[in-house]
Amino acid sequence: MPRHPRLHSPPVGSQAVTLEVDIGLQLGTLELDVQFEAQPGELLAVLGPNGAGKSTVLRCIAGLLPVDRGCIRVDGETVDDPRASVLVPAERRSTGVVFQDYLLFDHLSALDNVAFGLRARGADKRHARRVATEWLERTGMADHAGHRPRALSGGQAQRIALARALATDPRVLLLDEPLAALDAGARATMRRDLRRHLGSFEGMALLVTHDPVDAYALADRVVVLEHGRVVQLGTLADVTAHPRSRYVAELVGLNLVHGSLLGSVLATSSGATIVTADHDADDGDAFVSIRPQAVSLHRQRPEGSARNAWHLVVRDVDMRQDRVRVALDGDLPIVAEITTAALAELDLRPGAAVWATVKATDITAYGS
Amino acid sequence: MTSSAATPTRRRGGRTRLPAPALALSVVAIVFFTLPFVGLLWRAPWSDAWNVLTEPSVRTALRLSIVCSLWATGLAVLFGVPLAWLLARVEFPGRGIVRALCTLSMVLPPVVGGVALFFALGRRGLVGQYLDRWFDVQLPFSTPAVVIAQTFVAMPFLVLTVEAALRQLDERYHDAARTLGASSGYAFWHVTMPAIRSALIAGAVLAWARALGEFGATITFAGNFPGTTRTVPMSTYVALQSEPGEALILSMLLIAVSFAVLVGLRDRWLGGGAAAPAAALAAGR
Repeated sequence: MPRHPRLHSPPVGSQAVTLEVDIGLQLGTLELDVQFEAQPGELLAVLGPNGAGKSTVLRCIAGLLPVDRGCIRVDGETVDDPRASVLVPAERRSTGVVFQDYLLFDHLSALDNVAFGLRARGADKRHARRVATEWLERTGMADHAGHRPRALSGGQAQRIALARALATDPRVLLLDEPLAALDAGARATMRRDLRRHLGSFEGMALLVTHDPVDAYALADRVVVLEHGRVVQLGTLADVTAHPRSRYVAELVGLNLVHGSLLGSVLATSSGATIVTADHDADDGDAFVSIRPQAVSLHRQRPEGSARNAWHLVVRDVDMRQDRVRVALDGDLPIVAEITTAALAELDLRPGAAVWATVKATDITAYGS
Repeated sequence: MTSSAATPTRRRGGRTRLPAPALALSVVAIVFFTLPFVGLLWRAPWSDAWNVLTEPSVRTALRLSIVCSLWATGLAVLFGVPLAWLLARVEFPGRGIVRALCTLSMVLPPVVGGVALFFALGRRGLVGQYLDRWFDVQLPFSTPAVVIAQTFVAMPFLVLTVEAALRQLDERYHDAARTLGASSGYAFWHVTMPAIRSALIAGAVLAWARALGEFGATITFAGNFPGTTRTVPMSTYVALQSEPGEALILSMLLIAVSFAVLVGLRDRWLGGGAAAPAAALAAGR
């Protein structure tokens, strides 16, 4: 899968792990049992359906909820371990949080919201405001410094919330559904902005989302949670090619292709063109998503209405119960999902040449 | 209550016609509430008002009332806000009972409150005997006793108003402050307090009005001594026996203050929201 150029990349050769998470927690009917590690400088997305425990994991890492069992380490320093009786309170962890509904303080101006963390840590007012002003400039919000949060639009409030979280220079940045409260137009802009800001962020970032498009646009790897457990961890391309559960296959395991959109045609950097019937996204940098179930495979070049037909090579075949995921290589590395009957009929093996077709109406475009 | 309190929506709602019997009954209720005040207005010797209010005994009572009620309000805020925080945010066994105990004095006949204070803090009281024996402190029939009696009956108004506001407040703002490095105390001062500011003001004003009008608990626990414990309500009571004109003027003064508080609170801070029940109770003393 062609991955768009990322503005930040993990430091080469560094093997130190900055975040180790092992959470055991009973919260109402949810039983959380989650383990994962994040690499330094990595942006890890936590994906999962509602009620899977994503936000709870985030609250545990932030120190707002102690774990019953397990251990959380940041840069090798234990911040929560009930067995060792260690629990570093939220205010002494180096964690910035961008909450889903921002939680900006209504009685403070945008500037003082951003300065809040520094003031709370004892910085004098002038210094705190100077740093906050720099952050407002960096997030393009300098003109709104004096505005109260209720006078800001969703996207503006989001930028202030991000600036507020980053102003304290945290080692770990936690983002809880940062784009969920925005409308489609603002989402695309914010996704791009977020990518830029996260690109210059040197710590480790964790993004909680239920939207694979956000995960693909922003994250290096994804952790998929279901019913309080990690069902899969890997790059989105891995997860799409080898989904380990129905939820992952249906909702997370999408083909997301990055490219340049002009009218209804997306051109990828590897030279493939994709025609979409979706006109919601603006021209320029964009993604299209293709459900693997919408990809048909043929031995011969097909006749008919499909405007998208690519000649590709089978890379590997992943069989799981009644469905088969076929990973394809070539101009457009995508994944197709077919039935076992179709697999037998087509006689697909790694290395086999095959035609893949998708109807333009099955392709959704997103601004990037 | 007042035309200024009516919002455009209420005015629109006012067009709906009430069934005739309900309308008649509500008019009777309004007359029932209004008539006593009209009676006072009608009988008050307005020409004497200035003389009465500048009379030394009345001035002393006024000063005492204001000083004591402000002290009581201050104490109610000092102890009441942490108590409201405890009741709103900390879960502990018997919380409902603690809340009932701490707000009992609001519904109790004030005289009973005064008697209870007397047997707790009086010279032979549960705690009072030790205050007397060890520190030579006798509280009853002193100005501090007035403040204690007023605080006892007024604090619940503040506690309930602030607790309601704290309950409505999204706790996650406090969480957000802590992730930014604020200690629990810093977050309370800089995030929670500003957010409940209007409820705190409303609660403090209600408590102050209740303290200003306190009679039953004060006369039982602190007595009725000119200069040390005789506040305006007691002056009014005393004057009624000898100089009804003075009683009328003092009554008008207390009514004006209470009315201003209710109108002001409803328009500015209560808005029919969280503190409205407390306002209703304050009016019902």
